Amino acid sequence: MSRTSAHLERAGIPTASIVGTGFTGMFDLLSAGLGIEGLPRAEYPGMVATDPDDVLRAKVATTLVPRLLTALGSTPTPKAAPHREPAPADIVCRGDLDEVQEHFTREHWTDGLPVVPPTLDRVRRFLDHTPRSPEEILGVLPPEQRAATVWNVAVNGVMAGCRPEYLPILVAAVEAVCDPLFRVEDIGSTPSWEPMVVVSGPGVRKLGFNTGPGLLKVGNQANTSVGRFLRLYLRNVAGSRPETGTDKGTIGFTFNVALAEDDEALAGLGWPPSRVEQGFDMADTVVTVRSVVGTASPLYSSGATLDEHLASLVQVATTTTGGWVGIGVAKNHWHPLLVLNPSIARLVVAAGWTKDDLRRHLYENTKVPAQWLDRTLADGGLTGTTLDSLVREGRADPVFAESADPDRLVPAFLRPEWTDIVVSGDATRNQSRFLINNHNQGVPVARRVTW
Amino acid sequence: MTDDPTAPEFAVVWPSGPIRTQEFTPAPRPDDWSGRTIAFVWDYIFRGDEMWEVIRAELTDRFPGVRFTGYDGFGNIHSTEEREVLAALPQRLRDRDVAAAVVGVAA
Repeated sequence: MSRTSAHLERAGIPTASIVGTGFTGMFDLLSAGLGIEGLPRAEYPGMVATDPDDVLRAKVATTLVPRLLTALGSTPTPKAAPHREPAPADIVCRGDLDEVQEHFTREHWTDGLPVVPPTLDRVRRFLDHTPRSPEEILGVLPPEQRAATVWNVAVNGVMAGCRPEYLPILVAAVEAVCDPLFRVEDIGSTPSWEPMVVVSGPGVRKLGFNTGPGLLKVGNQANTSVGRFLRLYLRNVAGSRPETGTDKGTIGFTFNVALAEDDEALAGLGWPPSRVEQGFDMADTVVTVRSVVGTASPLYSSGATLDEHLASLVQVATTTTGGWVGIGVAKNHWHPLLVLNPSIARLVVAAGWTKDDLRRHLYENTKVPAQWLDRTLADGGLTGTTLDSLVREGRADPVFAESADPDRLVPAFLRPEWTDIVVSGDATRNQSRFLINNHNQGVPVARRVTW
Repeated sequence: MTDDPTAPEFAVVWPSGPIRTQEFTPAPRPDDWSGRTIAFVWDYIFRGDEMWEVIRAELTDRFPGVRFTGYDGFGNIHSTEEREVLAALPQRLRDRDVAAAVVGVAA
């Protein structure tokens, strides 16, 4: 919302923004990141979502309106340029390991874990692994509107515990995040999503990514440090931090370990890897970054027939998406990820199915009660928005409002082609996994790695 | 800090990047809202429509001739089309002779 107000102010239209108590700090920080101090706002006291109608009306009349009048009369100012900030190669701290950790903790440059001290020597060793200039600007990241450069990618890669040779993967991940389609400006949204790096291509084996047991657990240096890197980068360059108020994720979870696709398993199946489906060449290594806002209960599937496994996939997909797909319907974006075990994929292939056949089956057969979605829309604060209203406004497919029965079943997948399938994991087990993204926030964006 | 005299010392660099500053000149504010048009630009969440009804009533009592223009026709600033909506918004407000915009709701 601060984006809207700042935009209007720059267009010469005075504004006053209504901000609930829990968001005043974030509003001020985001506004400052947009170059404006004192962007006028009026605080609605307390929490809108739980106030009865009469309480809301009283609060607006007696408290909010006077504050709005004050805000409408106040004039924001340009944000002062920061005191001289360090140049890339400036030394910001000298000390032993403990002193460096303390300094970085005070400055909010860590994720709560010790970091590898980013010395010039270590950073330069990273830069030896890219032909790109350290000064190259990959993008500008909100909320602090700081430049993402190859240099500061290397610095954070050092800190995260990456090996120098991972740098091209890290650069590609940041390039993906800088794409406007990804919507990194929403990284601090209430539902608390975390980015996930998905790696597909020869770089998986070259750099030693894990595609076997413990696929998404910490433990493998490549998977773990690359995942940690991206979260650290979004703290240190984008400026998204819960403790300073720029990240309003309410509960959240930890950083996602990078997911690596198993090319050898796919070759045995005759299925194309995800990067080829995305339009890249087989010889490319591709990084895709996507949001993950939730994961499923364990997805065991068993039986000698495909139908038995499909039944399990559909059942778990149903409970995974739950009502949250309602927000996906409202935002017209919904990009689930199925991490499919190679042994299960083998069964699917043996039945003569392609990945698209599996996508279509999930799309046609995974359905949830409409009232789950309507309830979630209400709980998420989307005032007056229901499946019925979305269909009437032409914003949702008519299939979502074929009757008024709240128990009617509606699709939990919006488009078959929006379901990503990555084959990976311990082929001696029968576990797969669904991960859901946060609708239009963190739409999967892919970049080719440049070595 | 460690007491170990053999502990290595590290000289470390900054993990962040330069702020890309943006120019800003504030819009002038009217002295009085009587006879002026105030818009409500809404993200279609958190009961902004209910708030707007109360806000209109309260401001009408305080400022003779104040006019209001609601969120219909402005687009949803929190939708997938946010960027397109924002691009068109200033002109849409000017077309309605809007003197100021109440923007809401973040909660």
